[in-house]
Amino acid sequence: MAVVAQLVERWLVVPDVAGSSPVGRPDEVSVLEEDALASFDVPWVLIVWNDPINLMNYVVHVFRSYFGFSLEEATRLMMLVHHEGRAAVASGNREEMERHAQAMHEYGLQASIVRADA
Amino acid sequence: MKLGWVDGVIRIEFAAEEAGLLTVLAHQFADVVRDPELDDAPLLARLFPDAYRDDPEASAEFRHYTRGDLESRKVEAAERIAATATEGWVELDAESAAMWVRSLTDLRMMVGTRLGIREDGDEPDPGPLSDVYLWLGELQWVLVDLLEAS
Repeated sequence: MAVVAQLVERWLVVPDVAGSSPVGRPDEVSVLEEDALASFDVPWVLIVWNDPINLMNYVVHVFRSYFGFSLEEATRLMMLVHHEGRAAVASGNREEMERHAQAMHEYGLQASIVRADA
Repeated sequence: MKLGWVDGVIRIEFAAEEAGLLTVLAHQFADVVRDPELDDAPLLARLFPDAYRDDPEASAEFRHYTRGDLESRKVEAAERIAATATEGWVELDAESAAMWVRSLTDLRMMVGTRLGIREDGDEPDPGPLSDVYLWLGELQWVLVDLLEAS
């Protein structure tokens, strides 16, 4: 993800994330977040991939305005994308994930769908 | 360029060359999406990425059903920028501003692809086009920030 170097320090405020380990311990991190999958028990996952063009605050904005995530959750997922290269941001049936993928492509994010057990 | 919330709208003051630049880029983008040439392939791959990274057939099917709709939405957003970016004060309500930030990603994708930005840390060679890229990034950054602050 891209940052606007001269602005980022002033604008990007991630107090809960910057000081501590943003994504938990490595062994807690899974691209296909297991707790999310277990709670839905469904076989398709939407993955958002890191890319060098999109700004960090824009990705947070997309996660907030499209998925309705809190600022904290949207920021956590953005940092996951940034550091891990990708993050699972939704799971559900295939049609639903395809709608999300199309929406992410409209926002200009790199998103793809995969079967949870793939 | 000055910008901020005033009476429920985001107001941006553009210099003539800034408004002209946005208009030209937005038209260029719409042209590329409507009538791409062979060397636009890397940009199109970013604008309309594979929905199934390990399944070309499913990706082709997804593209078949979504691409036309995506193209027209992206063109519509770029045309909104071209129609509203003028010299002097421009007023954007929240809906227009959201459309602007979405299309600014597309415009930055177009310019960034031309500059050869492929992965994090790629620094374009200094020059007019890289100045344009950085300026678009600053505009998008501040607009997103204003939207999130509303």
